[in-house]
Amino acid sequence: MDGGAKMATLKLPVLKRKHKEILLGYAFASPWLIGFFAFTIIPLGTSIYYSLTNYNTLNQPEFVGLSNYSFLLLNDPIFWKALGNTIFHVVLATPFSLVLGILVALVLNAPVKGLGIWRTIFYLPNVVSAVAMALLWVWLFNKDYGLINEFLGVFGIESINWLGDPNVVKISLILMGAWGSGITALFFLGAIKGIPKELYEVAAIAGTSKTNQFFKITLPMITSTILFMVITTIIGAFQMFTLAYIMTSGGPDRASYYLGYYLYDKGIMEKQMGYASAISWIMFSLVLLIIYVIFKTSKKWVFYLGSNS
Amino acid sequence: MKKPSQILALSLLSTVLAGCSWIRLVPPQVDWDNQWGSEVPAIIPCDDRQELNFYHLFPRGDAGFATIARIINAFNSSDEASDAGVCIKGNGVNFWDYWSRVDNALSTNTAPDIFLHQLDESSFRAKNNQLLNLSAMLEQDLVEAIPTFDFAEDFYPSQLQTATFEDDIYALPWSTTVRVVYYNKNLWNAAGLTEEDIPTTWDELKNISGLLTTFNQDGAMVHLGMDPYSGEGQHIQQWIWSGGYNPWISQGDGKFTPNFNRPEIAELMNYIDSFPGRVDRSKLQQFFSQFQVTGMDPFVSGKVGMQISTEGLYTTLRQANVDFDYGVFTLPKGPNNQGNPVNWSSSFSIELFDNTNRNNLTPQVANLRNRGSWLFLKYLFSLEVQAQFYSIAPFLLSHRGHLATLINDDEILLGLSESIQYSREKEYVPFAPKWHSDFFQEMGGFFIIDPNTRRPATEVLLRMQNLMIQKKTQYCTANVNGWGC
Repeated sequence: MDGGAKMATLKLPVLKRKHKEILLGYAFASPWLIGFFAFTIIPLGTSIYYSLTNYNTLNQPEFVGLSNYSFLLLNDPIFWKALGNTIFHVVLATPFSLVLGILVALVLNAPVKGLGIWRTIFYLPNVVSAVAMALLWVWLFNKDYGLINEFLGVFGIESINWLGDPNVVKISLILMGAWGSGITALFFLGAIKGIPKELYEVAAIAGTSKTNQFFKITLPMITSTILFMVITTIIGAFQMFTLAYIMTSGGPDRASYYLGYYLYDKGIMEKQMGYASAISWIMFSLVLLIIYVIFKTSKKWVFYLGSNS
Repeated sequence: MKKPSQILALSLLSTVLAGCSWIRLVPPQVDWDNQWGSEVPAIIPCDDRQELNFYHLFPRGDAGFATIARIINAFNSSDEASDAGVCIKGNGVNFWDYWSRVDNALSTNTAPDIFLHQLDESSFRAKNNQLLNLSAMLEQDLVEAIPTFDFAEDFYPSQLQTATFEDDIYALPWSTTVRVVYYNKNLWNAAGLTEEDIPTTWDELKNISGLLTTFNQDGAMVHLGMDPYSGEGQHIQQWIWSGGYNPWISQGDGKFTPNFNRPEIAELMNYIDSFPGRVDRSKLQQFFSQFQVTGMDPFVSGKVGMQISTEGLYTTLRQANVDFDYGVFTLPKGPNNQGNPVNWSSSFSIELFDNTNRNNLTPQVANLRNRGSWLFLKYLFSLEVQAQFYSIAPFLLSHRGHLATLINDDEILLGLSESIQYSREKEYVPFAPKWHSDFFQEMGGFFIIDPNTRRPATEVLLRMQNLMIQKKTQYCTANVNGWGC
């Protein structure tokens, strides 16, 4: 090598500090980003495509345009039955779950002995598997020997056919929601704990009753949490499937046949994945619309501590 | 760190569970565990042979895994497998996960070479070019004078018919689920009945049911003669067939027209509903509720005179070590002595994937794999292997020649096998593959206890008819040239 000759050197572009930080940020976020694209975005896009096809899972999807959607909306009475059942469930289950969650949170906020144990007891049902829970409630709801009818019988109330009466079965499944109120209560408890105590002190000095304190202080201060719970509960209610599948098989007489169940039957049992995808996108659009409306109206009733409202 | 007492309790529980023997449907003629040891054998490696994937229902940890591993090892170490250049890799999946797993595999390019599936859906897979033409494989064997099956001799005609697509056989029946009437001999004797009184018609069945149904002073049902709509009797198509009707009109090539909305079928449903135990539905529900709560099969309790069920009930009865005598008889003919003694058979099939449809395989390799799968299939149906399968399978296997050899003189198994000739599979209707589940859903309205909300049979059948027409319209709208359109 000629010591006198200067070697050509490759000059790398010098990254600015700002660009380095951006790249580093993406690098750290990449595991989540890769997962998000692989398991959310790509399946979403694939599902939109499948909804425009006839796809039996064994052959290549065959493009059929909006045929699945038009048939669903114009010619499928089962779809409307399932949608009706689902809307019923959402409309009743959501406020029931929220009211119960708030009540339980208020109870758990009370200064009583052994509060930690009570909080554990209320939360325990949420760690039980849905299948085990469903099988247990089939027993509790038994018309002739179930504990619930036994309890009602003490007050002279006639046995109710909780799971065998088409007029009652949806209510039964909603009441089962009480079992899972622990997690809702947990969220509200956290929100209640975050309310400044000075507000209650001032109210007490002013002679405000406990009930008024609840409606004038507690409730407004937790509206942001209520908004969050309303949205997540509505999303969960729309996805109702497991309990109906295990406990009632969608009956009696399709009274507990929800949209999620219909989607499962079409996609998995009948292998009409295109049609099932169309159902899922209609469900998604409906949920999106409802959430949009809720968000739009939330400015009128949600209060954020520190805001000017 | 767990407390020592917790560890001890868990250990004791595990020991007790491991020591529990499990009941085999067909008592084995050979103590296979004793002959080969109960240890799980090491899997023989495939080396450079073509590895064929075999999906089965006995995953590692299952009581049957050691047996299936021995079966596979014996094949892999045989000269035939070596000459064919193939070996088998078993893939055991538990029963509840198996069906979605195999369907997912078939949907991608990872289909197993040999797998179990539902016999009545084999035509769907054959239509979609998933399955190997077994008639062609048989033909090749005959031309080359290789020992092979005699399909007509080895299997029941109704099952073979279901496995046939466009005049060729694409699957072989693996199991034979048969539905019969179990009867409680003790209750029969108490009512003055003997085996001479075994009914051959529905009218006789109904009369005996009345004799066996009893109530106490409070009006609660003590013994139920028979609820024809409970147990395996809930499958309505079975009653329709045995009444001499068919809910479908077949025009061939997958084309079906629904035929539910017939007054004769409504009359038939009402006739079955008139069985003595069903007259007061709230009392019937109260009777069954006690078993729902405890999880016990009603017939096992000894309080039910007759019940329609499968071979599974026989295993349950032996596990429960019941203290009453019982027997079985074939489902009788329809009312007015018309119809046939038909029972619904929801059997499994064993199928071979056609490797010529697998991506990235040369025709030579595909053909080699197909021949290897066919060789393994013949091996699975050999008498010795069938005998081993009987030591682990909870159902009757379909090879009728071996069945006769292996069940000996077991009274119940003989009764079950006697009914196999009357079994039939449900039709595969392309636009409503689970039409029997749809029918069951619609029947929910008929089964409602409250007479004010209950749907009459005519309305249920009309709804079912309209539902099937709607499904056909939806399927054919999206699938203009689809199968059956």
